[in-house]
Amino acid sequence: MAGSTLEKLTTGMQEAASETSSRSPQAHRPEHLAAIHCENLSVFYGAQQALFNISMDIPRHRVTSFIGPSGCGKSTLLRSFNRMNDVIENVRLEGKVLIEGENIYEPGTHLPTLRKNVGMVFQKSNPFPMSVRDNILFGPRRQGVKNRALLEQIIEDSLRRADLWNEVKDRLHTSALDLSGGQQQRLCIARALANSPRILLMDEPASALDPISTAKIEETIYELKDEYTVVIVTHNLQQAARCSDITAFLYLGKLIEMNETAKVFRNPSNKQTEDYVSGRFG
Amino acid sequence: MGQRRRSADLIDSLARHVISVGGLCVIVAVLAIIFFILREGLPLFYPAKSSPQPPLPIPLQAGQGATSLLVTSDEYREFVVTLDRDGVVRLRSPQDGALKQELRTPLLKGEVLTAASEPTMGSFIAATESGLVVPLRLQFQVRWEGGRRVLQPRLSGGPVLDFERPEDPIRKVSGARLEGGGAQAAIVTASGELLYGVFNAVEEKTTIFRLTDEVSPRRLSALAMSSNGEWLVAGAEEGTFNVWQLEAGEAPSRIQSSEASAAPITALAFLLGDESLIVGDAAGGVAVWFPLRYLQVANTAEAPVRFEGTLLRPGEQQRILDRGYATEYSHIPALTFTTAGRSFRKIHTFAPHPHGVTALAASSRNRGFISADTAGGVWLRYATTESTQARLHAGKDAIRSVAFSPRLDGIFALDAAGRVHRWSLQNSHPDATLENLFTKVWYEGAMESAHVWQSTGGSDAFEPKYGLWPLLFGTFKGTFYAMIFSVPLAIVAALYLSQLGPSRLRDVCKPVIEIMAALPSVVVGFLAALWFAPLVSQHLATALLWLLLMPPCLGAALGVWYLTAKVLRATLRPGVELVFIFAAFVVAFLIASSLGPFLENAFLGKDLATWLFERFGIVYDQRNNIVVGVALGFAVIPLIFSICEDAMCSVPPAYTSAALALGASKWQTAIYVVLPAASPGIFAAILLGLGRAVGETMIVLMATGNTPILDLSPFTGMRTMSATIAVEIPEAAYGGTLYRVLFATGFLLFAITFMINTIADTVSYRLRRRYGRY
Repeated sequence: MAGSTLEKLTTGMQEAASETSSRSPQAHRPEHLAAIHCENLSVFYGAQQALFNISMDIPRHRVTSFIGPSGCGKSTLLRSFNRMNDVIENVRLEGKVLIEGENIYEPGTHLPTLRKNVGMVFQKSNPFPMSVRDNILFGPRRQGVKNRALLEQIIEDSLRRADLWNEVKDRLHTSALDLSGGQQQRLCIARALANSPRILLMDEPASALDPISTAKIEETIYELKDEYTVVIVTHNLQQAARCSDITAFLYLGKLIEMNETAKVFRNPSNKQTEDYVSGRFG
Repeated sequence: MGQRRRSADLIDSLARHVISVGGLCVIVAVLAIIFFILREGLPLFYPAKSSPQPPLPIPLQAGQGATSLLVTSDEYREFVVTLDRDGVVRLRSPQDGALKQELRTPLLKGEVLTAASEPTMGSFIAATESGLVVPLRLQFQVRWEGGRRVLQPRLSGGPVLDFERPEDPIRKVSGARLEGGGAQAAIVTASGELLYGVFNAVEEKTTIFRLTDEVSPRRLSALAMSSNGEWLVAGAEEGTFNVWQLEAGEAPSRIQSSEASAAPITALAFLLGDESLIVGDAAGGVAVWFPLRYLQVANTAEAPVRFEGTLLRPGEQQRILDRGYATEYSHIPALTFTTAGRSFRKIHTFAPHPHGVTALAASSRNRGFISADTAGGVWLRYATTESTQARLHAGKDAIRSVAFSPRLDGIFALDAAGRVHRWSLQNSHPDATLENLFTKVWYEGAMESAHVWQSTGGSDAFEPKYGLWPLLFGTFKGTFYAMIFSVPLAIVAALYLSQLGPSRLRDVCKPVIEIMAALPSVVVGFLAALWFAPLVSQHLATALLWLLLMPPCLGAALGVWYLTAKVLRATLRPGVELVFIFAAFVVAFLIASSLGPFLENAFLGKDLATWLFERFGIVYDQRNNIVVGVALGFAVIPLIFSICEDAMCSVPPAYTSAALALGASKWQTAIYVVLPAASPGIFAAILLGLGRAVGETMIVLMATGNTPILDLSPFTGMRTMSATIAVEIPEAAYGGTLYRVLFATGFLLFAITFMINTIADTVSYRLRRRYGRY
């Protein structure tokens, strides 16, 4: 049921979005390409280098998790996939990031379209001080969706996907700030989904939440991979083990190891990885 | 450790107390200021206070049966002065009525039949049984003897006008002195004759004119001549009155005959300034009439012309009140205007006495007067405010004569039984009531009721006009234009610098704009008045054209900028757009400065300001609202900008990141996220700017022209409350009406800014609760 509506929905959204974007339609996208492909990616904050020659392929419709100790560059890497690093001053980037085969650091890249397609959920929930409804519709409205029926559909579908619909369906007009912490974070997920992105980046989405809320979020993430490519940064190794298919371990700005999650946790090929996942440092 | 804890506690509690005392001091200081302002302003609205004193029985003159004809007093209220039938002026003690002095003049022979007091002459005029009319003057010389004040009275008289009617006793008399020692008077005799006589001091000759035929057969019952000798008014028992305009030595010309009342007119008098006529009738009615200017308007064209809502056929003429139509219609040459003289019209009607009016007396200092009736009622009135300030009672007998003491601190009334009634009076500010500060008032000499502020004039007879509306209006007009200019600029600048522009630009611009706030407002005002105002008025067409060209030029510049970005296939670095905007400014200016004079020459043939006036009657003042708007705006921009910028910068980055990550452009983020979240701060900034603009003094003082007019046009000046206070308080007499009105204005200003700041606080608190919970 949800699937068919979503298909309709997604096509509608794309029609609306195609006016503003110049990207090629879905049908022509080569299937073998990775969702995200980066090549020799280095990021500098001023003189300090945060990432060193990272190259990786993140497969489509999988949950990929980035693990590593604090300050190892997980978040920086994640933020370079939707160019949110641009917001920070004095950031310089070398190398290539290809999303669906297109280099997003090419001059002339339309940032709003990129970020619509690559959604992001932040560590700390950050709903706007508006109603639940306006929060959800913030993205679609900025993309120029005006059709009322479609907007109503987007609200319900994205809230359902974020597992929040039953809790807030009667309070769509109340302020998002009145929701609980876990609900706020799921609202942020729903808000990102309302843009029908193809990739969803999540920066430690459950780190500030209680165990029950965390379980709900993880459940949501697991369900999302059917239709989205999910990249999640986490501190919590159990979380990475529970809900991701592929795990990448970063250490001091370098990609140490990237493989199927089961292999990384049970049989890592690198000593540092083994030390980290077995809790010897980090 | 314990020692350290104790000393920390001590410092804590000390600090708490110092801070509480400081805070309390601020509150007390503010309350004290309010109290002081109120203390100086409130006496304005105190009602007139009068306290009666027991009547003085003045004994009949033994053997002659004579009683007093009129009553007055000296400046210090040391004497009650009466003119009695036997021609003697008697000075009595106001305490017990004891006779102090008797003054006689050889000019008064035989019995005095009637007399009138002329307050502005400080004297009276008497008519004797031999048909002579004698102006009298009573003066007091002040001497000091051993620290005690001694008043030395002196009675003088003349010149005598002989009406040569010994057989026809005079019933009414009124007169006025003329410059150069002459005098003129009018009488009504027992047989109903109305005569007007002029004594020429050079030829020492009295000329008599008989005016009876012009009013005959009506019976005249009241008579008044203005003290400047311009008007003669005679009231009749039929309730009509006739007005003559007097030209010394020439036959008087009757200009008006009006129905004033259904009852006989029993008393007539002129108010101070000789421009208002008080009419009292036998039914108790009291009204004030003003002489108004009239115009004759004629249509000299072949076609009908529309004039004030009516169609004027060719050749048709109309007599209309002169409301400045000649200038207003100067652009229609077909209409010709000629002056059509003046006529009295009833303007103010007062609460009627329950009995017939018998006597009137005008104040010698303001527009107050007293009316008295046949049953002992003595009512204190104020003409301009159309109010009855006090209703005094003086027994049951008819009042024959009333008078103010020269300093307006007492009232004297003489009744038919010969008793003198006295009241002391405290009535400092009859001309300013809460009502007439804010409503339209029909002032003397005006053609209609209006809001007027004109606090000082050339002569003592000038009536100060304290309408606060023009000042309130001016304040808000100036503020309005300043806000129109400054609010969009400041908010857009803050939004651009905090959200969109390069951060280096912000680091430069913010301090520069904040330094603008440190510029003394007197410098801004000076520049506005002496540099900017003349510049704009010389190049009005260029300035307006520039303003008009800015939006299209900016649009074009942004278009070019966008296309450049498209063609180069690159996002231009932030800040580059400024080059385009600057170019737009320059291009618009170049076009305007070359096109403006060209258009003026080619199409108007003269400069724009002259053309506007000639074509539409729009007046262009050099110091006008545009100049004030810009100058005042310049003063409030830093304030609004700075607070807005702070508010926008303190919007949590989590919001902006969320918006950007959702695919909103920087611009959308600024509009849909930053603006609402910063709205409490923006709102507070606007209202603080408003408060600043309302209270700003130096700039408006220098750049507005200070004309207290009610005119919405951006091309005229205004006068604000703050500038009025600054300009007039040094000239206002301490404790005088103007002084108190200015304090009341100050209180009003305080109340307005207080209200604005309270609203700012309340609304921004609500908005903060709505948007500001992070």
